[in-house]
Amino acid sequence: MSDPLLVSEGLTKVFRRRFFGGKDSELRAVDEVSFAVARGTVYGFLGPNGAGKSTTIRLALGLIHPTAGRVTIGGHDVATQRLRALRKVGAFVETPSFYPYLSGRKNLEIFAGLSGGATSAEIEAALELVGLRERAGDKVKVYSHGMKARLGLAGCLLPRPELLVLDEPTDGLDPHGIREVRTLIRRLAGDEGLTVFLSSHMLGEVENLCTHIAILERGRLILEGALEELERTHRRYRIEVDRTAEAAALLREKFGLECRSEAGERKGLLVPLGGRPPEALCAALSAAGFGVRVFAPEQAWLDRLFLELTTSRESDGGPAKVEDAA
Amino acid sequence: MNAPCGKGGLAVTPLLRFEWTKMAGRRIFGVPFLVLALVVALIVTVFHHVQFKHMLALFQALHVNLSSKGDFVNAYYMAAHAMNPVFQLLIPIFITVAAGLMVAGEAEDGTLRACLVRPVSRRRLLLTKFELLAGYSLALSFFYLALLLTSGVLNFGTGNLYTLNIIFHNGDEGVSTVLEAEAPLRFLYAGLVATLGMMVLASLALLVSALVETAAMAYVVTLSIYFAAMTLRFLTGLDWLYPYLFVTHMLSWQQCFYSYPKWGDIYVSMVHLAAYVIVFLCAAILLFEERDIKS
Repeated sequence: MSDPLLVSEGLTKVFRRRFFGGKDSELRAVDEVSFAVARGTVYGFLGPNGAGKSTTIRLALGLIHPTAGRVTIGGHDVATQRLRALRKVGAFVETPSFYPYLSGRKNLEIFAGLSGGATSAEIEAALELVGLRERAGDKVKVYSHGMKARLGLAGCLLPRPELLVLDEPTDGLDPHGIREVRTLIRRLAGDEGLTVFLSSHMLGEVENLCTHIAILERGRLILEGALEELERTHRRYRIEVDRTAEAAALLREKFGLECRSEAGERKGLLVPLGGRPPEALCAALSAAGFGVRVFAPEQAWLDRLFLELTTSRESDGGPAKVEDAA
Repeated sequence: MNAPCGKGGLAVTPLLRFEWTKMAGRRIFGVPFLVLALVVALIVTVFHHVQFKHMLALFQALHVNLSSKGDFVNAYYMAAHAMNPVFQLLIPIFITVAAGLMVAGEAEDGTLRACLVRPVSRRRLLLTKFELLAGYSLALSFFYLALLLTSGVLNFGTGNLYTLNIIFHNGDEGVSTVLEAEAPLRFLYAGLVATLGMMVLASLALLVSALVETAAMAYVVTLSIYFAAMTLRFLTGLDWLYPYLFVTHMLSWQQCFYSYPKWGDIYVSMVHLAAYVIVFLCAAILLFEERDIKS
């Protein structure tokens, strides 16, 4: 991967709690997590609740101190050069927080000021971009959840960052709010060319927005790679043919593929292609005289992969790394 | 508003402006001024209605040539006596609440986290909050004093200031007299020393705020430490401890109303207070730099 903007190397965070007269307790919230986010990518950080996503983001932004490992942003170590590292970063962690007794515009002035300042024109442009210009004079306490999320995004854009770090940006929003925020993130990544690092437990959101993903489980990175490449290797095809068992035998014999019968009422086969072109399989089945009724990519493949990885893994030898096809 | 971004992060001046904007926008920071104004109104009313017969008798017993309430109840008498409870109780509470809101309160609300994901130095942020608290202490102290003296002059006029030493000087007997011409300057000194004392409390509150997660916890812990130290001053047998207690030096403003103040002792107390500010503030910065922002 060339020119990574955000790099995590062996990042570990152990929270220790000391009890007087009792046993000390220890929680390994993040365990040797390594990943790299290339410029221009939208990197989705997935994991169930409590997997360590927010802790990793807090470590990446210098809010909490790592027990081991390090994070660099733009080549600057967050632990030792935090101010330089954060200069080109726009971020919010968990929910965007504001001073409720101040207006949206005043909040933006304050937060942009902490990053070196933004001109009035830049503030207005950011408000315009998130569709809050007309309500910018209102106090934040009267804003809806969605408006606060959009104001949070506007805050991240001031002054213009290179990297956006968003922790569950659509959490708690209604469907309209979710759509607005997703559209905005897509626009920022696509039109504005920003690198985006976002955490979420909403798989559809990640599949829609991201070019790369990582899955975190119990503080450990268990899968990482380009979404396209992961799809090529992990997405299965659903095949319905007239003679299911014979078709499965053919695919095993000719392509070495282990097919699985669908559970329940459905009679199809689930075939992991393992990177093979689907056209070749379809042609082979037709040539062998099978009547192919359905040959379609699996729906919600990421959900399935996520559930398989996060419910079956008690412990393993480390993250499953998928090389970036690029 | 293109603020410069210097070597150590954001320059102090814009940061101070942002902190001021946050503080000025919050009504709770204005409430103490209203409370102090009400206290002054109450004190003036009381001074109008009380005859001070007992006090007159005490002065006469101590051979002070006073014949009626009007001989000693004036603006300075009222202000000096009204400083005691407010500078020992009310203003410390206001300062503690303000400091708690500024750090632990912001941590609780998530706005501290929002600030610290920006390229701003934690040390600078805390120092700026202290600067603002110092200004707030000064504003509260002198607002109260100015209001007391103004309303005192308007209602009771001026004159020599007579005070019982036992009220201000921990057991010395007799009466102190400050001449009318000298009294305003004595109040200025007393106000400055008292403000320095409030800064000790502000730095202690910041230190506590850097340790705890909620504003309420910050108030409770800071005020507990303050009142515990105050209580120790009343315990007999602990006289050896008094010089080391920050509250002893916080009360040194009272010595400004002595007939002949021991300025050397007052300066020593001021040095102690400054040292306490530095120690508490340095400890607060060290802890705040190392603190994990989890809320």
